[in-house]
Amino acid sequence: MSASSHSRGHRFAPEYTAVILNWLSAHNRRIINGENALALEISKSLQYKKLNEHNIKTPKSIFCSGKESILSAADHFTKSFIIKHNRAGRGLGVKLFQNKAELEKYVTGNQFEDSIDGITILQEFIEADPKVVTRIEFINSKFFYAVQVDASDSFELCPADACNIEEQFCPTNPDGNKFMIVKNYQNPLIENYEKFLKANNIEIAGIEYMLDKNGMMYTYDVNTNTNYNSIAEKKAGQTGMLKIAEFIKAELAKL
Amino acid sequence: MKAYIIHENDEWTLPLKEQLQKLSIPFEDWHMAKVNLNTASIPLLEFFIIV
Repeated sequence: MSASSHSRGHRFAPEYTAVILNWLSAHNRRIINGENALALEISKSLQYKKLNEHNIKTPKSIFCSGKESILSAADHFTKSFIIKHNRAGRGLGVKLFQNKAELEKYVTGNQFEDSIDGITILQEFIEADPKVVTRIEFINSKFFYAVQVDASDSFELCPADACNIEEQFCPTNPDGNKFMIVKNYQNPLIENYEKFLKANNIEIAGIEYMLDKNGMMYTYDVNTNTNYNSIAEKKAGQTGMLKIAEFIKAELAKL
Repeated sequence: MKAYIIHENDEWTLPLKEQLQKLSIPFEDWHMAKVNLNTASIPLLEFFIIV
């Protein structure tokens, strides 16, 4: 279930999913990525709280309800900041502002787009250095692979093939593909991520972070609805969906 | 036994369905904006995945 469901006309799909999960869990049915995963998927506020509980650094964020609240939150940022939606996906609604005056122009203008849940986040702008974000994929709450995503031209970084119709050359990744699976990836934070996922009963997820110029890691998104990029997978000889299918097969055998 | 896929995006679900088919895992698709379910009934003792 995706936080961007409303962008496909399925405004209440997450709410209905919650109902169905209540029904299934009332009968103790085995669910992969159940109610906790859904709750996190549709709330960055909850994601950041849970990440922070596992010593995972998130960008400074102020969660705002309403235009006045958005504007006054800008007073708490001395440098450039972005706004994003509490409930959204695929980078939709993410915009960069240099100062409050720019923000005010946008918020009071007719281009303003409110979050589907009415909660907008003002967040410090982390300038990724190098200009990539890394998305770490987990299956069965364990590390599967890390994919480096070229972030030089957009905030919309969904790896699904359906989101990447254009074959664009990306200068940041050496093979020219926007998504590149990193060989022999290592990161001490993997352990924190795995603990975070286990504590929240999330078995399949893609977690995104970026590095600033000082090498500080900022985790900014948890996708419990994950997608894999087929070009990157072909080049690396790994198939996330196959791994999920094998996981499902093993779990089915336990029932 | 069967796996139920709970989702709202046919395009994104397709790659998973292909792999399930390859491994001969039976599955059913529950699209959360289309499916009709009786929540007063007892759900089948199957396996559910939310995608």
